[in-house]
This record gives sequence, C-alpha cells and structure tokens, in this order.
Amino acid sequence: MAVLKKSVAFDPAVGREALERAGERGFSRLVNDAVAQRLQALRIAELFVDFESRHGPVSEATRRQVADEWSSHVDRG
Amino acid sequence: MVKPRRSGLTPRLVLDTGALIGLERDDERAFEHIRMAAARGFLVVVPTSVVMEAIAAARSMARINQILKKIDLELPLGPPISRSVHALRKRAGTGSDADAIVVLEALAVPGSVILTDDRRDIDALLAATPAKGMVPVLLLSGKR
Repeated sequence: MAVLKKSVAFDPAVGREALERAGERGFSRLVNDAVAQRLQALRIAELFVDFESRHGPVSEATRRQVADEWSSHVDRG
Repeated sequence: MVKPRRSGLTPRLVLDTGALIGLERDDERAFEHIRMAAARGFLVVVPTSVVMEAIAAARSMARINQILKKIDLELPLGPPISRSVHALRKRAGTGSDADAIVVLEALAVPGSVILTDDRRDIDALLAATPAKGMVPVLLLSGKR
C-alpha cells in the first residue's frame, strides 16, 4: 500500500501516551486513524450544513431522540 | 469468525444498505445519527457490498455519490471477512451477504455500532456470533 511519510511533532505527553497505547508498530495506524476520523468529521459537518440548508434545522425532538438512543444503546456498553 | 483487531482502533458506525439509502433520501434521523457518530469520535464506514446494493436501490446516483464522497470510507471486502460470510449466514439461517458483512465489519473493531433500517436480520446474524449482545444496533426509524 502506498504511504505518505511526514515528520510530525507531538506534545510530549500526547506522543508518549500514543506510543504506550499503540506501540512502535501501531503508532502510525493510531495517528492515521485519528486524523482520518477528524477529516471525516469535517466532511460530515459539511454534509450536515448542506442538509440543513435545504431542509432547515433538524428538529429538537429528533436530536433528543437520537441522543437518547446513543446514550442508552452505545454508552451503556 | 473474524478476530477483532487490536483495541485502540477508532470504533466504527457501520451503515447498512437501508441507512445509506436513508442518507440518499435526506432522512433527518440518518443525518443526525452520522453527525452524532462523528461528534463522538466514531468513523462512519460503508462496506463495498452495501454500496453495491444502495446504488441498485438509489433514486439519485448523483446524490448517493455525493454522500459516499463525503463519507469517503468504503471498506473493501478482504479475505478475513469474505471467508466468514457464508458460515455466519448459515449459522444465522437468514440475512443477505451484505448484512453479514455489516455485522462482521462491526465485530472487527471493538466498540463499533451498526445503523440499520431493519434490525431483524442484523439481530439474527449478531445472535449467531460469539459477540452476541456486544454490538449496539441503532435503528433508522427509532422503533425498538
């Protein structure tokens, strides 16, 4: 698989914890996953803005219902 | 059965075909679910088999492509999953290949969640795995 190599500077505490959790071999994967998640969150926010520009804001009832479902089904686990 | 990858990977919200079609058709709850997932640090992912089914069912190819471009995390079908699909469907006695792949992709990363429009087959497939009850299933309609 093609990879793009970049030298990245970390806050020392962040870098240490990442290394402890992922190990040397899993470090790149951990960083890549974190960046991928952040970039996708930005794209989803754009998608959401587009949705609300066409349909208006998501109703408070839907927001509350979905938040409750995440709390009860996902956080519970 | 597919072994879970090591923990520390970002948990996923795995969309099934109905969930992806919900986004294509501007379902408010579908949008709120992916917004919630992104805000909570989940990766929203779509297996290739789901993309294939959704393209066949979509009303607008342009719209589904727009959604997929923004999500931009299509999971290709690799050997660990492809070799487990048949056995899982056989044990469950129900479900499509795409449903089984959704379940196996959710099981592959601990902490993952499934968003579906019809939980019967997903529940039956999950019940046929050792991780029974471990993968939360969220429903597009909000019904239990």
